[in-house]
Amino acid sequence: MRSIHILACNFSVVSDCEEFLAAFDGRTQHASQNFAASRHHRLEVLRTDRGYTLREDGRPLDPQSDAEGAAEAVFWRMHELSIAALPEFTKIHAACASWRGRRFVVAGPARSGKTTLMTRMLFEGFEVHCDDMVVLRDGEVLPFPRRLWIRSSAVLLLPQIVPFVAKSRRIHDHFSLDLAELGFDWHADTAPVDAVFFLHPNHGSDTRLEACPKYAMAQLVMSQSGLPAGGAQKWVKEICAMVDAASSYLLHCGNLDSAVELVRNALAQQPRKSHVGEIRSDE
Amino acid sequence: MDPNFRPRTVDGIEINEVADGYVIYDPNQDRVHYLNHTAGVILELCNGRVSAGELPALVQAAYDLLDPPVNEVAGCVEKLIEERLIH
Repeated sequence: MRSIHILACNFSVVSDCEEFLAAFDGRTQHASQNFAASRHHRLEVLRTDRGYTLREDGRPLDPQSDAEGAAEAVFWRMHELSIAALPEFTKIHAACASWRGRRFVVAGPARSGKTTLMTRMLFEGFEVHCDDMVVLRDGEVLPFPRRLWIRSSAVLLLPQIVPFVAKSRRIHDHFSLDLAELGFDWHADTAPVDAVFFLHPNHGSDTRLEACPKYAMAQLVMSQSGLPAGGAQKWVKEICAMVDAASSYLLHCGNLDSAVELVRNALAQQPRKSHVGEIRSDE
Repeated sequence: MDPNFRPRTVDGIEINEVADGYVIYDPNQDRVHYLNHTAGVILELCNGRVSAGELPALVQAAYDLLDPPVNEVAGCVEKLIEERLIH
């Protein structure tokens, strides 16, 4: 059995098949999380003569023909259930990391380079929380914990991960990396955001960072965001509050070294935000 | 545009101010509009008491401009009408 915590959900995954469990383990994450789980789901995967039978809390799911397919189906079902368990949160397609206590998000469409940038930052002293999605509520973001799925073609840009990739499973032309397994601190906790970057790929060229008006950043972030259950009014208000409290930048990302340096410099100019309940005292 | 026309914001729109502009949610059309600061100020001045003819001088004063931006304000007001944020 495997026990997996993803934000508001705890999952028990039970199987009689080692091949399935090995495939499943290559997809799960081990981030530490302080978000209390309020739901529990049991997913069962049983091997049969004709493939794999899947059940969710006793109800049948679509059967799968092989272990990889079963692992993929269970992984995505857990993903869906975890998102569905947070209806009141605004979902944003963004990576999230911290540098010296300053948290930032990097929003951008699929294939804009969020994962590549986050992976590079991981080896440059940044604490990476997630590479694909954050959820937002009451001015604080909560990273959605998921392994980093690195396109095999991007490995050339990330020589630091070569030793890890050699030991990683290759799935759909991607390598998946669990930050905790790599030896990094991996936390997915709620915190306010100090800076918002919107990523524009500028592959094969220079990297540029430019300040972005907040009203324009709100539009960009909304283009990568989904409505919470509270509706559009709440959505607009939440995103405006996040953007208004943070610095906004457009990151035209070409050369990765420059991108890391420009982000670091921008964050160095930010006063560190205190978290709710934080107490600082003089020596 | 008639200089005596006194535009006013339509009922129900929600104005969210950010440091350098405004994000407007219009539940009537389920649309979001993004306004820079000057456009937002013009929208806020559309309260039914200020005439279209008075707007350029008010914007000039607000931003300490050399001349009243007559054409720019007229264009902005027309755009706000077109987007159904004022009438």
